[in-house]
Amino acid sequence: MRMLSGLRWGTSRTGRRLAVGLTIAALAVFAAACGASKASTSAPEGAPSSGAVTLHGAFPTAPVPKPNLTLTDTSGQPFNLVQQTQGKITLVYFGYTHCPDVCPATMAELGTIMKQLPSDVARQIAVVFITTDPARDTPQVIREWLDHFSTSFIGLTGTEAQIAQAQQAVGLPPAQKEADGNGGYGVNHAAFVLAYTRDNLAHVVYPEGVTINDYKADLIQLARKDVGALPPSAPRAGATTTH
Amino acid sequence: MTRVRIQLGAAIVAAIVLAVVIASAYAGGGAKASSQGSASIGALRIRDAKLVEPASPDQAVIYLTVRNTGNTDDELIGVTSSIAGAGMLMREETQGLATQMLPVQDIAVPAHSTATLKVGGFHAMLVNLNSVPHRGETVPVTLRFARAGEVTLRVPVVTYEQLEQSNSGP
Repeated sequence: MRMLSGLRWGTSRTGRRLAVGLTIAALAVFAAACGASKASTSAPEGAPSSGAVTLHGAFPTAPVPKPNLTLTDTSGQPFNLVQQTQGKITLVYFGYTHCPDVCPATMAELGTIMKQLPSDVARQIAVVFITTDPARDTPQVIREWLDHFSTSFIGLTGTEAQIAQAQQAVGLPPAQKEADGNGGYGVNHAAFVLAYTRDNLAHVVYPEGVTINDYKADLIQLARKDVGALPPSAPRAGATTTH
Repeated sequence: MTRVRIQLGAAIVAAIVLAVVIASAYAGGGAKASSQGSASIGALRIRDAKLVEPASPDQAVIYLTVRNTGNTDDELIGVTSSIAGAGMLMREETQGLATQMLPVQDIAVPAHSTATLKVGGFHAMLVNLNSVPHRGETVPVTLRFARAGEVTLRVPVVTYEQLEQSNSGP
């Protein structure tokens, strides 16, 4: 299996194996990796809402910090990603609205999931879309696009420099425009949804292809079991071993 | 009771006649569009074609499968529709943490194999839309194959939610 390369996704500090591969060639492996990397861990004694946690996502070697950046929301107001999602389970996806395939499919899936989750869980979740194409994705364009999936989804844009900084902060390469031959262009988007817990860290990510039921099962646990409240040193889903 | 049966029978006959009329309207040059989202041309069987109601007014995506029942390799080399200025064949390529959509010249449909256009892999994209398709409508889409030639089929417009449901089905 191919290991993730890049910033915080390389060899684990703890020497634990990363159970995920993110190349198109490794897609078949990928499904197996996701299945094989289900993690079980228990909260330390005395922790609130303790209990075993079993997650279906994929696990970066080290948790990915939430970028502490102020971008622009769909009403044109400044939006600080850390301050304004504090205390929420925050699902972050980097994409662009001129993307016909994975980006809308991902947001549609998240929209369906949010509608189906118990209300006490849905209330604790924020869904944030960050554009990788700020040149075309104005606040208004993003709002109209997001409203097809959910009016409660948060959409963020910024200057090219701010977006590049946000992408770099989560280990994504800067957007590269690829002309489509018909006057348009495509840019890269994230291969996964980052799931930030209340500690502002993403211990788990969700690649395209994770089922709605697996998503829901995970989000219910992340919201109710306070996974993100575990101290950073505790064994957790984000640093699982493969057996 | 008898009258109900007769009426039901007449309705079935009418439906069959209508289906035949619709099917023959699209038949020609050895190509057959047998039902919505399906068509045959030569040894190729196109199935489950769906156009997803776009969230962006600028482009739309089409997913489908093509089964090649013959002994000769073929390639899907083009897609067009009267609702769009242009159509393109695309592929999603993931490298590391990022995914990029890239245009491709053709999508292989090898002999005795099935090519699948689906989320995260190959797809057909319509751009420069002159009208935005909505759920429940059907859109004429012409597929061009290197050897089998062209076939036009009526592709139903579905929502992403309906697409998810059909993908998660048996």
